[in-house]
Amino acid sequence: MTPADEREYRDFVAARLEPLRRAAYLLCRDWHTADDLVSITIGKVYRHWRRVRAADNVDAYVRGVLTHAWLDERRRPWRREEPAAEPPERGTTAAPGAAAVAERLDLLTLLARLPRRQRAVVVLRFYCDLSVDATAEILGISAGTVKSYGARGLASLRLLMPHNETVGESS
Amino acid sequence: MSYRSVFDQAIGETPPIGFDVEAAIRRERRRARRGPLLTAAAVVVVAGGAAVVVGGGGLPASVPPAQPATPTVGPDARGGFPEYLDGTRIVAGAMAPLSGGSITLEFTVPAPWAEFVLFVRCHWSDQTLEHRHQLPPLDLTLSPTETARFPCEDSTYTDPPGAPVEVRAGVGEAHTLVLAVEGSPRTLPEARFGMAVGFRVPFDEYGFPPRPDPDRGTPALVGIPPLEERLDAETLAEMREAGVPLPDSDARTVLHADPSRPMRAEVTWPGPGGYHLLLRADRPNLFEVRIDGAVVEPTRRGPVAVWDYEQTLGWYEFTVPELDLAPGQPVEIEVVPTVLAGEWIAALEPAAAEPPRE
Repeated sequence: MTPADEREYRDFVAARLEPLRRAAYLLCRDWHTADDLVSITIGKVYRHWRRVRAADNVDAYVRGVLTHAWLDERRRPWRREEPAAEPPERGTTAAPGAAAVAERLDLLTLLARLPRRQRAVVVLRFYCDLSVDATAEILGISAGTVKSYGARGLASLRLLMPHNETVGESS
Repeated sequence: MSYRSVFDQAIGETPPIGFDVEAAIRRERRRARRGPLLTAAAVVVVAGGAAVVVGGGGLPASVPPAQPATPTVGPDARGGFPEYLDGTRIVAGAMAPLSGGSITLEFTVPAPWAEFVLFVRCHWSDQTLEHRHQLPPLDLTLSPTETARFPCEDSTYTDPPGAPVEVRAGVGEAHTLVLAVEGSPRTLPEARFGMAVGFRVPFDEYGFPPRPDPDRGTPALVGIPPLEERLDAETLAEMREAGVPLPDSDARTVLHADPSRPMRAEVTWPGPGGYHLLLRADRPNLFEVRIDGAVVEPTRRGPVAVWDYEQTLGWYEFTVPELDLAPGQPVEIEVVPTVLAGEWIAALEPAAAEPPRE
């Protein structure tokens, strides 16, 4: 990598570091693991910087690297999370502050309980604002599957939106 | 309110970064000087089955130490778990009857938390086997607000799912994990459950078991069984549900090895799911995998490694997304043992192009 390439890479990483860490946290729900994943991601991006910056959608490319780092880490069949059949009941007697914290935790907990690829779809589509096609390409699945996973994932998460607030896509 | 802002609210404040970007850049510079190094995917070890081809003679022959390189932990502190297990050193373990309700592990963290591995197991007698479907799930308490649930099986589990930041402990700090039987204690006869905490150790510091005498001999050459015989039905269903590209045993490529050389094969790249390497060795060893000459970096959890003489079948996925390999593109995959001479066998299975089930 030339000095000019490296300056460009540093600028890119500096600008994307926090969004990447937050996306990684949504995937794995652990800041230490999130930092591991982002560290792996920026390492891979460094190795292939010229290819990365030539991509049509650099952010989608990098988020794809991040998502694969997480999926690869989690492909062991012996490590299983049992998706909850039903979301946990919401408390009705907690103080307002406690309720807000509980809702925040419940949203992350429910997200973590989604099957892995479904969780990845939800994060890529609705947090990283990637298109259906970009998400499908990253995950190696069909656009129809992305739509299906996204809808099912949101159906689970929407149960916990504060006060049934209307939520729309941000893009 | 957008979904993004809802998620942002749920995430809360971003904590200070936990790694050094400059160090990561320096690491990549060093790597670039050494040559291309690519990253592969996860490692799975599945017991059972038989295998296909032999190779590996004429390679460096150093002998791993049979004795632990670090002070031993008393067996009472491990609940019957061995001191060295699957590339880790067990620092604490416990087993208890399922009727016992829960077990608690207290341990001092000996290494960075990134090296942490958790083992959860259930054991049962023949008498209990018929009641296996009644075995309750096990709830692991990681912190006051975090739990993870495991099925009660005889498998080994690692890495608590979603291990939260709250359970991270620094080297030298004390930590506690609680594993409890879900619901009320059960009285299934002789059924036991347990867990152990291990921290990964380098290959040359690992306490290998004594070499069996007589040797178990050459790894069986009867053929590695198809996927349906390597994994239980529940695991298969879960992987299919999760959209994990599964290997196609019918399209298997056996790596016919010349005993004096590494094994290699020309194959066509199957697509995003990549290749699955099935590998069995008759003794501890480390293996390097190369795709088109580039070393595929082992998993974050360590290299492709064999830790015992049990001839357990190892299953390794290589997706290597950064190679940008196109489906149908010819590639050469090479497997190179790096530590020991010995008998070993391997085969390659392409991930099937089957789309995830809706």
